[in-house]
Amino acid sequence: MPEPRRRVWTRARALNALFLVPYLALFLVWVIAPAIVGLGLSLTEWSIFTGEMHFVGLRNYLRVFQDDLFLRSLANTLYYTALSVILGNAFSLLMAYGLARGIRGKLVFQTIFFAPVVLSIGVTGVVWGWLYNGDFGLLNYWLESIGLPRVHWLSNPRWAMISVIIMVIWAGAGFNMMIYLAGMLNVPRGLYEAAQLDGANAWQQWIYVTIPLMKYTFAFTLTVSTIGAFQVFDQPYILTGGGPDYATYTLVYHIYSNGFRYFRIGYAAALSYLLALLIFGVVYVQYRLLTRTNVEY
Amino acid sequence: MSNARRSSPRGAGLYAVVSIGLTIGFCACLCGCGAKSRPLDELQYWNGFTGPDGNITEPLIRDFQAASGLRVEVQKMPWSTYFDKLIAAIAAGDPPDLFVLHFSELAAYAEMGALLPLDDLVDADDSFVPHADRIESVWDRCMYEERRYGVPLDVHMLGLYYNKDLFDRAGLPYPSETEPITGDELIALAKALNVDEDGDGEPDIWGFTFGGAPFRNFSSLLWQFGGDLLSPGLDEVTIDSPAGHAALQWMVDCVEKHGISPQPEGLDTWQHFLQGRVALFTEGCWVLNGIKQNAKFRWGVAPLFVAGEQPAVWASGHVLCLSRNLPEARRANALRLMRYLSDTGVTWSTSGMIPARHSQITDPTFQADALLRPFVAQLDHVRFEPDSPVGIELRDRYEQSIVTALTGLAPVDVALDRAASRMRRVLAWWEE
Repeated sequence: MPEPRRRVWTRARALNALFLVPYLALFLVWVIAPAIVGLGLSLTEWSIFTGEMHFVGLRNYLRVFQDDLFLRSLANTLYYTALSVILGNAFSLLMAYGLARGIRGKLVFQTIFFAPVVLSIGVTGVVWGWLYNGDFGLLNYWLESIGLPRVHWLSNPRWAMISVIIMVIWAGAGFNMMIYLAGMLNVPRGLYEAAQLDGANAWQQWIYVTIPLMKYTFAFTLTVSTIGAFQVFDQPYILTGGGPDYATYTLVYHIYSNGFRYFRIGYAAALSYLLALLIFGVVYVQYRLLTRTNVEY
Repeated sequence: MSNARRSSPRGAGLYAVVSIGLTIGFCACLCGCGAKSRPLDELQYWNGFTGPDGNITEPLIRDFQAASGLRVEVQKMPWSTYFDKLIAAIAAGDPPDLFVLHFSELAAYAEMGALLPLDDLVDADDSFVPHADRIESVWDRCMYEERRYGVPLDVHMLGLYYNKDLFDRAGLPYPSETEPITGDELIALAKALNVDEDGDGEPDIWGFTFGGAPFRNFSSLLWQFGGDLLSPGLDEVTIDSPAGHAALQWMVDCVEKHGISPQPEGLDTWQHFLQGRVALFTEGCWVLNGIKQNAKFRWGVAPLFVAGEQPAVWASGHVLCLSRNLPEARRANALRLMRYLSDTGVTWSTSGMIPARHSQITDPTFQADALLRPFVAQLDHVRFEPDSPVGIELRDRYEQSIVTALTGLAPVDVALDRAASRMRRVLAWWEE
């Protein structure tokens, strides 16, 4: 009978564990502790200033069904997430594909595409606010110069969320582009040569070689994009203030308003937990679907 | 050397203990970072005066420091982020010694227990600010449930700004600086001031626009037509009354029927006025210095027009408050700064604000500023938003609906019904 394997603590292992201390401390203080406290708060009505607390059970969770703005913000968030994740990733992929083809001035384009990622959302919001300005914004100037009517980008509920999405895609597409580019360049050249010998055209190479081999890249970018999209707040806060008529009012905006504007801390905590559950559910399904099959060549 | 020889269960255990110990120590250190206390002679004064008003604060505070021997650290933050930080500081038990709220926020903060009642400290002592010197309507707005929670720094309200060059070009007389024009007069003036330079049917210079936040214009008109947002007991929504319909319809007519005003969108009004593309617009007295600095044309200001049956103008004010969490030992110096800021209301008025004390309104230095006269002329007609603890939330709800009517996305009836139903939901929740 073989001797059971004993976990041996070595000096090296202990040293490794020591390196984890700062991260664990931060994780404990900034993630675990607030999450536990938040869960507790979601079952109470808590006055942030006096510390007075009343246990209300699941009332905060049940209240969402009476809250029309919760449903409105949920619908807005789902709409934003679907459009921004799909279009944003498609745009990133397109840019990465162009760069992977080895165009001239690749580094310059890479820098240009990535530059918006490093800008603060405050700067981006102000710049796009001016571009979208209904009367003297650049976008309407261009539309008018080709004979099209002006668009009230930010004051029309039909256009407002689309305007936010366009800004977000512009600002963030460069990040995913770099990841897609790395994924594409990581596909062995030999596989393309073999596919060419088998008579595969460019489209078939893309479908049967590139995409399957970038499965985990897709899983990563789509997961990260989806989580980020569900948490959208700063962009509509700066660009539209959640309006017009709540057209860009998102779930995190609703949490912020309830917590820090209307002082309903317990309800805001309950909303946060519902959002976390929603994100977990969607991302779990998404990840399982994206990594379902294993690819071997 | 083999791994087995290098490993030592005792040594590893020691490392584990050290790791856990360091983690706990690190956490404790992080938790304790904010717990430092300030010396008693060092005050923190927080406000959102980041515009030209901030420039007036600085010399005032310098003078206070020189006279009192106290040090004051002024933290100016944009209003948009100010409240997040203030809430966190008060909740953490480390509030600034003195801070500024608007009248509209006072009830919520008082109701939530954030503010120190000042009845004994301010009202009981007539030497703090003599009762006879207080503009009663303004000072009363710093009360909540019959207790004083703040001292007003100023009162500010809407006015009607106009471009004198455009008036001259159209050969029109300027509005009076003390008597408000009527709504019909405004429409007639604005139609005469509309200029369609390229003949495309849309004015390139607009006669009039509603400036700033829509709720200020709407509530002014609502009061002028004899209505109100809530019933006197603050327990019923009355925004959808006939007065509400008349007020909103009047605003919509300016855009759709009379064609004197463009649809509102963001900050366009301000930019349009400074570019000489708007002849008349409504805005608060706080923009006076901004216009002085930026306008490249001659301009003036008049009281807000009266479109309804009675004069009424939206107003608010800055109120100086102390936190309930402020240690007792720090209160005396905070009150000293509070009193000083109230006493120097005439200097503060150069930021475009109206003092909250009779002696300052009649002060020759203050009266010499002709641009403030139209605002002072409205003091008897100022109206404040309801001092409900859910006032901000109610405002958020109805303002969104007002905008949909102004942008033509919803008829007046629908917009007001929606506003009322949203507000009723807020009140019902609050009453629970």
